[in-house]
Amino acid sequence: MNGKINISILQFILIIFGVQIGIGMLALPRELADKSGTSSWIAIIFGGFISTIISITFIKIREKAPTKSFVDFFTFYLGKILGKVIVFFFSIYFLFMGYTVLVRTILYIQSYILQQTSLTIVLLIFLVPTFQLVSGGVHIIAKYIETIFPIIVFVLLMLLFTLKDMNIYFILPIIKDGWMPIFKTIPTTTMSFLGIETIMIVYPYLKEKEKAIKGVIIGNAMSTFTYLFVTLICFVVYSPYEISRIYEPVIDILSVLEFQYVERLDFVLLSLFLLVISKTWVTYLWAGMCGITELFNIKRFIIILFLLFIVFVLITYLVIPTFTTTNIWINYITNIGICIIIGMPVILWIGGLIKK
Amino acid sequence: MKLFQVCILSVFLFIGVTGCRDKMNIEDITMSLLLGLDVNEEGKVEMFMSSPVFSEEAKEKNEHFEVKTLSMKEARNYFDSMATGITSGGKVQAVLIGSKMIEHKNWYSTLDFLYRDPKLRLNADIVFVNGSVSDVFDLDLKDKPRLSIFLPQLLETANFREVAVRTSLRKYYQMYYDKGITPFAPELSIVENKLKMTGTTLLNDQNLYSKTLSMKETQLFKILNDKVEGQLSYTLALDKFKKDVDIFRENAVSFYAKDIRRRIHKKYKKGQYQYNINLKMPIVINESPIKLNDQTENSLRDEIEKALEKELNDLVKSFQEAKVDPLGLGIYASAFNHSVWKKNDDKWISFYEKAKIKVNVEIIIFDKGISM
Repeated sequence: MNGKINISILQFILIIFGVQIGIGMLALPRELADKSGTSSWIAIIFGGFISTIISITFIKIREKAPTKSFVDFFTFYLGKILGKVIVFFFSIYFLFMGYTVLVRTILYIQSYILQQTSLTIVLLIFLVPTFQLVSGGVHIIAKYIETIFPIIVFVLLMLLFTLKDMNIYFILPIIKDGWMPIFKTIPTTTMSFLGIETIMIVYPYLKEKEKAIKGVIIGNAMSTFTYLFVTLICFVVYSPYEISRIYEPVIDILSVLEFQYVERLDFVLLSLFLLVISKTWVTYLWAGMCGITELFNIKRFIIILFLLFIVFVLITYLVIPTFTTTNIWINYITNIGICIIIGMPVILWIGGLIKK
Repeated sequence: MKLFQVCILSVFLFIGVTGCRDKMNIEDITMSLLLGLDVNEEGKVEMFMSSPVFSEEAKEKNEHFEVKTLSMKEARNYFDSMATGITSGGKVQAVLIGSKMIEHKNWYSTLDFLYRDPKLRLNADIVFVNGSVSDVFDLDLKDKPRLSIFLPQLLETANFREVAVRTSLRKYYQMYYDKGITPFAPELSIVENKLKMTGTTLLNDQNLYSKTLSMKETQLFKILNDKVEGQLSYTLALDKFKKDVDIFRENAVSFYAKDIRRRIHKKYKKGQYQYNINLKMPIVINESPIKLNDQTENSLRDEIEKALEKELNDLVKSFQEAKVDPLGLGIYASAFNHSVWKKNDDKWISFYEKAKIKVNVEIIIFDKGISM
């Protein structure tokens, strides 16, 4: 591991926060309302809590071998063959996750902004900055995430303007149909906190390792707050009967924002929000590429990345992703993700026991 | 390697630059500022569109189109075959709907495209026309700016004076799908070759025409609905101060109402809802039938309270008789009595009819003007 590349604790927090907040946020209020009505926002707090506990477990496991790289860490715990197989699956998962998020974002762009432009061309345009960021490595990504962090704050602040049409009675009573539906929603909310698995890869680069636990707690708290903020605003602005009819309430809610000289602010804010989403796929792709190159000992990182992007373009060209197909992908990938974040600590623990 | 990267990058960028097919030059656009929908005598749906013309050669500064078609999106193709530019809906200011439209079931489904296309403006106002939409579009307004500019202005100023409500497409969507409120929107009429906002159209829970509120009732409705943001000046005739029956009766009192505070007390007893709507209204007296000092002020205040309370209670009663709930009392019912509401949310209007609703008004005179 190269000791020179280090990221600060602030960057570490923002990476966790940045990977978690992504496309999931745009449709989250509707998904929650579908599951258990307007009381479901309480489940976000539980989801955030579970996610924090899992993140702390990750850090605790990682602390045993703090400077070991991704592949070394797994082979250290699980032996050479099993460790490598797991890392391989991990990398594939990261790459597919990154690709799904990227395609989904492009579908949003096509649906909202560029209705007549072909998907492949938008994808090509987006791959250029992605290429630069991913090939730059972790410190470039960390700096990028740090730079665009104010955008999410700005977008969230703009959401406050929509409150002029709010009706607090839409969300009352706070617990509408008892606690059971709320508990049933917890898996859905936990899914929106996916992204903590990247801690495994980012951790070795962290400069102040003793602050890592504090970092993950702050990162998860920030994500929880963001989700709560967005969901509560959507629940008081939209009627409970209306919200399940709108695909992406968080984008749609912005469409009524109008100021004296500026109209259609939703397009501007959506374009800004694309940058926020880009953090997710950039980090995932970088994490996946990290695993692949380390696993096969590849020196020419850039060429592999380039080949990967060609594969992406080809898949997009041949499959023609739609909202429905990406929904199915997201469903699969988040279920796998849940298995990973819960199963990985268990496997590592068992591996550790056997090793002793 | 560096050169290779730069080459690849430039190839990508070149593909990207030529790729956007959504480019539209502003001089090629026909901005549809007004849309209209109506049913003609033969029972066919007609679509109207109005857009400003920016050309020195054109004598008429407005383009009007009219087509008979099944859907609005199809209508756009016909509009494009007639208009000077490509029709775009991003700046729609108002959607006019004829009074014949809202007498037929499922009329709202023709507006589906407005909610599906992200480029359409959801802040556009819905306006119901008392009469036929084609009359509005054919109207020749000599002393007014072009129709597509004038009508949005009319909506805005009428709303500022609180004599008309404003219902955006977004708001209408909410009122349509929420089971605890029935939709309403402003009404536009042609009176002696002039456009006039004449009140509010109320629709029932089937989304069909039910009742029209006059201008004065609209003001009361706005007071009751706690939605006063502009200047609301209300005039009452007080019988107590009536002097003789000449032309000038001297019994009118006018006041500005602002910062109205509304509290709704809700109760549910034996299958019946009870609402007490308490309004606390600080007012500024503009016009008074009597000389106002600290003593007479109280008697005037009591009279206003009594008269206003009566008018508001009558209005609420008329809502109940017409089976419309534009105040959204059902939303309150769902908030405080959710278990009962959930079982009966489709039958809210039958509960509403039987509900006991009482309006109490408390007036605070905080300014009497500069002369007694």
